Amino acid sequence: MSLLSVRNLQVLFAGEHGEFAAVDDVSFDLAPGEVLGIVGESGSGKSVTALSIMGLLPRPPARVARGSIVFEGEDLLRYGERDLRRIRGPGIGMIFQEPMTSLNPVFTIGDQLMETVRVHERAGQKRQRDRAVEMLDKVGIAGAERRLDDYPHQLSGGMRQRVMIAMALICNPRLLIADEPTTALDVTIQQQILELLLDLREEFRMAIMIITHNMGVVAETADRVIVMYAGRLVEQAPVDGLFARPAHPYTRGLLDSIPKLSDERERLKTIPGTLPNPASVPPGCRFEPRCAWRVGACAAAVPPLAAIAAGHDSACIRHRELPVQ
Amino acid sequence: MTELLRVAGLTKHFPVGQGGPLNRGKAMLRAVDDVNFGVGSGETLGLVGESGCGKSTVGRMLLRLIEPTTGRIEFEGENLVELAPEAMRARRRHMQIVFQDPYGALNPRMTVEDIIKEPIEIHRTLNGRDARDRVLELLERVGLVAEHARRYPHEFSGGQRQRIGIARALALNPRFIVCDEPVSALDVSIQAQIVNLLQDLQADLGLTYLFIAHDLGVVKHISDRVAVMYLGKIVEIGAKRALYAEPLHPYTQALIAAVPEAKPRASRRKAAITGEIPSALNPPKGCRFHTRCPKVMPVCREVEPRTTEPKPGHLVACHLYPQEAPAPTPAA
Repeated sequence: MSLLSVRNLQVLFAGEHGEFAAVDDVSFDLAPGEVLGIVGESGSGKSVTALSIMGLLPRPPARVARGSIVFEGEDLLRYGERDLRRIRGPGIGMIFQEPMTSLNPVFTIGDQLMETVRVHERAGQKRQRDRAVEMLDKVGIAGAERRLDDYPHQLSGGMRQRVMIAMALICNPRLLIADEPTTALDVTIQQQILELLLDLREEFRMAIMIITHNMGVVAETADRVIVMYAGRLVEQAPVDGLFARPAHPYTRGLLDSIPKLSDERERLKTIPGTLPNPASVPPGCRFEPRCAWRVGACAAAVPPLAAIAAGHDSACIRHRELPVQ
Repeated sequence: MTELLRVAGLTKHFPVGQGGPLNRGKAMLRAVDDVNFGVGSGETLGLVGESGCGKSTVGRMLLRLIEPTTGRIEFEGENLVELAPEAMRARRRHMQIVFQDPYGALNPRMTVEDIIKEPIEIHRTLNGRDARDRVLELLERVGLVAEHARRYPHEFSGGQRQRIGIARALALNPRFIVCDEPVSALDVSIQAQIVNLLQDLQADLGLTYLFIAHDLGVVKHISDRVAVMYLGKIVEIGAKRALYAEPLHPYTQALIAAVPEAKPRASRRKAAITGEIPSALNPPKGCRFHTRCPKVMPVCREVEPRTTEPKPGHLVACHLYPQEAPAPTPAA
């Protein structure tokens, strides 16, 4: 059974020239304990999808126009703020790219961790403190006891991200949503944080939804991957299948345009053109204007997701004709 | 290959004001410390390192946008550090910079034409009609079109704005361009376009680049040689193939190992190094990397390693390599 099941999600944003869909008809599932990677570039809708699940969309300008988000059998879109608060924390935790936006600069990290325990567990002072120390210890912060009195600005970027993870996990969530958790970090620190997330996943038996623009991060962490482009899901597959047999021209283009450490090509392959303006997306396949494989039919209608292999879907009407790589 | 640029003993210490006037300047942020390298004419030298390693400070010092504390910057045989401001301004015609954030670097109130024309007007290289023709030629050169000239920066995507920044840098026909994280802020599918553009321009115009970036993949792709910085020092420098295939310094080894590769599972392994980058206010004694180095020895905590050349053209500053023979400096 799915831990999380998103169906036909459509999120509209009010813009200068009326509403536009930042996320359009997106459906996917997440199994308990699974690590799902969501990759995409700017405007792909990956972060908006995450915020919809958390009930954290800025409203206005955003609104969920259609769809359902079922978490452990309950449709979160029917919930009011009070019920969502019950889910956030013990049900679903979230960490963001820039921990400073989520940590309060005027409270010590101890205060913030202990408050989280207080709100969700109604625990006493001693228990709150013990939990805070225990969590800092688990996320690899040395001298946790002393660190409780530090303010966020006294910590490095990597340390702040560890504190954010401790805060998200202190209520033992079944799902952790990590939105670009390592994008602001240096590569040696990124590696430490990714490793920490995977270790904690085992320990806490939680599922992780990792949102990133970095194909390398997805390859190293995810069990399954969703690729989004301009608000739509264009491909989903188990991680091995996606990298071995990418079945959407956009996924292929993205993989080809990354300079790899192991490769010696003189020129990088590129995807021509630019990302579409979300307010005026192409009517058919949204990747059509940039696609080397486009035919007349691509602009005429939105391509449906078609099964390529078990658990592997591509929203490309020509997926069968793409050459084997 | 003749050397276009040679940097020797380049150092930048920023005094850090701590509180009142009485103790101002007591703390020193040692952003760049005794950096030496050369860049051959028509070559791309990649400069990599993590945040705070001093790579951007090096780039800005080359153009004296930041004044070095000490050191020499020889450009075409002339020491730029000794030049009077007026003479330095004249040299900047030949040395330009492209920044990471094309939006921050472009005046939002100026049209693209005025932005690209500005350096031409300051240096009075062309007038009126000729200046305008030059703008149109540059736009085409970087993959934009004439009608873009009348628009404002906010009307462009990130990749297009970076093209505008590049056109502006090319306006005076420079010989040398510092590219300071030019693709870091761009989407993956756009990055490759800009990297290819920079390579095309180099081939066509005979440009020399210092390419500063934290992305090891991009640096490997575009560079001929690569220098690795850690806490204000160059720890290793060498031809890109040798450096990536057989990194000598434990920091370079860790940095390369930490890059997540787009190959599932193959690359899932334990972090090569632990800990965080120490503060440049108080860098570790001896080798600055010793606090995180998996191969640390007692000597590393006490003695700063000399730069040696274990293999021709491949320099490293590490006690793992015989220290007696100092590197013949001009070789790099």
